[in-house]
Amino acid sequence: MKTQVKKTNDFKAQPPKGIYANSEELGRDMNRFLLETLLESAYNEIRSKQEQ
Amino acid sequence: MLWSLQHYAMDQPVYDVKVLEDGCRFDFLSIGYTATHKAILYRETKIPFLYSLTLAEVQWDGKLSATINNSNADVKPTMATISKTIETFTAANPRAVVGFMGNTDAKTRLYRIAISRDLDKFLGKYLIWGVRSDNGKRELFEPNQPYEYFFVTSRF
Repeated sequence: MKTQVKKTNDFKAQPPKGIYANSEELGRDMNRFLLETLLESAYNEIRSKQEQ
Repeated sequence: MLWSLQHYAMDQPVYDVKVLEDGCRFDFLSIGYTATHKAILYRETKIPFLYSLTLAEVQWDGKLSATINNSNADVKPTMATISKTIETFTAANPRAVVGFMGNTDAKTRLYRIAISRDLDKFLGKYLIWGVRSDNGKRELFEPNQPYEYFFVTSRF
């Protein structure tokens, strides 16, 4: 019998930290953070609806 | 003149900014306990017209630090300056949706307070959304809600 593994959502988008050589690099990392935050938000909304 | 304070339409002092990188970067000198060179960056994401906004400190060698000194005692003019650059940026890029948050909870709270304080004035010009920190849902901005991320776009 298959056992279903319950995964936990421990992902948290990490904001830019530290020093960047130029605005291009920092902007790219902030964009990564923005998109990850949006994905996380969508994921949490879907998951909360699923569990209702 | 680059480094001085002026008064914004919302009756709050703002720093003079130097517009760089085709209108996607605004540099100013933050004057509190110390004078700190800061930059406000707008960068388009892979999603067309979706931009991130970043507040950074410019170091002596031109490198940028994403960690901002919050204790420079000039939060209000800094927030008003960010608000002014949003106005400038969205006027030049009317389809832009600008997303931003603080890289610490304290800074995100400052954004939330700044938006709430002038919400009536903002709502005439912009649509503002917040992403809630308690359930991740996105909704039109309302004061005193636990938002962790904000999106602003011009009203057409």
